[in-house]
Amino acid sequence: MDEISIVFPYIFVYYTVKRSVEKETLVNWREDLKEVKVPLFILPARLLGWYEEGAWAACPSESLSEISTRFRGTSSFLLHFEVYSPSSSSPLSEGEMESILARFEGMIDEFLYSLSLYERLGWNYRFMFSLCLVAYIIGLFSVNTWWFIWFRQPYLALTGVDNWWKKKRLLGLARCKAWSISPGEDKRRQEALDELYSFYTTIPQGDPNYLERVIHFLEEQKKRNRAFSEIQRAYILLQKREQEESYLLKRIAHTTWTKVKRFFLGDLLLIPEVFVPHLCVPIRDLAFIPFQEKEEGDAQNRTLQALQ
Amino acid sequence: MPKIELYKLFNKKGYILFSPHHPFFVEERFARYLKAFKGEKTEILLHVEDKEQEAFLLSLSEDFLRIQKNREGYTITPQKSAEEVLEYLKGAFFDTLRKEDTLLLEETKNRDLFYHYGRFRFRGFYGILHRLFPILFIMHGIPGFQPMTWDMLIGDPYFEDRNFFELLRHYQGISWGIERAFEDMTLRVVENRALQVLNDIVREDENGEGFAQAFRVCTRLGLGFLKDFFWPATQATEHSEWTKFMRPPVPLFPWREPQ
Repeated sequence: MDEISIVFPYIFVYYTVKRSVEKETLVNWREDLKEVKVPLFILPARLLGWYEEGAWAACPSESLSEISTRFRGTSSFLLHFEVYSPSSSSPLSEGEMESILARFEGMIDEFLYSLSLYERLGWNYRFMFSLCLVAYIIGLFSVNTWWFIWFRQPYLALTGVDNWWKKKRLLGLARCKAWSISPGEDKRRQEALDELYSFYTTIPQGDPNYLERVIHFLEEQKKRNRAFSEIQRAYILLQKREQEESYLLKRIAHTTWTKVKRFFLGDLLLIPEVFVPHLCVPIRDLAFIPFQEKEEGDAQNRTLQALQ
Repeated sequence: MPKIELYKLFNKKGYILFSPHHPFFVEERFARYLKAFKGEKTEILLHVEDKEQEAFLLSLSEDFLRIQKNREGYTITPQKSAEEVLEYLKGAFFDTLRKEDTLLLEETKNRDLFYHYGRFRFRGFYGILHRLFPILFIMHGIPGFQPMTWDMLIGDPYFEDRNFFELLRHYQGISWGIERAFEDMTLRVVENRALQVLNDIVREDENGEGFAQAFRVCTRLGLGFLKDFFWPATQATEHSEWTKFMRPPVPLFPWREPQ
């Protein structure tokens, strides 16, 4: 007993000093800066959203959580995107490349911002309600009646646990010190993308299942060239994004898990869920030449014009 | 590095700068200011059609450069130094982006803190609750209520106060970030092919429907956010679907009044 009472203050002081030194020492992050290279593909597609109808998509072959596994354990890193696009007479200009980068950065910053804000409150609430849980258990043993089970607060000890898990995995993105983008130089990827594009042009316009057809084609070509599987992965992510970005599907509880969660937590969900962004942005259709064949102006109804 | 994008758009009379951001979802903008608060430098990306033609910094109004004719030729008198010109540009950004975001910050902050105001004062909710402290002894006979009462008297106000504090700190950081972001920034001019195509369409203005055509095409060019500019522009300046309701109706078949 005496030994413990002697040692305890020293242990306490040791950890306090260690923590404050860690906090206050200026770390030169340039010394161990890891460059994380992510291939980014310009995918021929026809996006469907109101703000992106008919556009192509710029999409990396890894999702955000997969990218986040690559810098685990590094203190700081820089993210470099290598852009591969199908050969075209009007390639991407500097501004378009920079806008891809700015939008990615904006998406991730926005995500981290919401996550850290809600987690500050959520952590606090969880701690508070876990104390309620203790009180609840005391009540359980000290009271002989059953009515106290209607205390709803102990259930709230789970508020925002999904955000807590996201924070664990993805908050490391805040350690990204610099962002850059440049055209990629891997020939295999370039060839694969060109081949894919020549296949894409054979698909009839307006085919609703074009994404499945493209993915199937890439599945066949995968053994020949490893780059095809990367492109396939990017297309799968794009497909997933097209499904999940839908406003209706976000609102309606369409899966069993969402139904269960909303039934039990319902309006007790104080902390909103922060959605992990899909790293995918609309980009110019590189094959598009505006008004090649003269288009009729149909802002004014044509039949109406003829009648008047 | 927080980035602000600006697009130099042609609007039939001249050029305007369009900044793509959501009118009332603040997260993207506030995240930028939080980064500025942490010491990162703001970069303004100005998208233009053609870098070569960008002599716009030289063709300034008379406030900046006065040109007078004399016997020999022209006298050119710069009215302001380069630094003053930069200050002027900064002022322009200050007037538009910063003013709007400051107002939005105040609004969001007040909305988020509304719940907490006055709750911890003497006459506030928790003030009254604390004056009910003797209830713990009164309720001694009903032990089931004890955990809940302790929780309400001590637990809740403590944690709510922490939330209040966290939110205050958060919004304080953003407001300092807004101040810092516009103090020190770099302007970078980049060439954008999609923007060039759109501006050409508006410039050509076929059938007087340049904006309507640009509206239809801009999504395919990956600049879908410009729909929010082109659609109102169409409404203001061009014949559009809506004007047809302002005309006399077109008969479906010739109608004759019975004699």
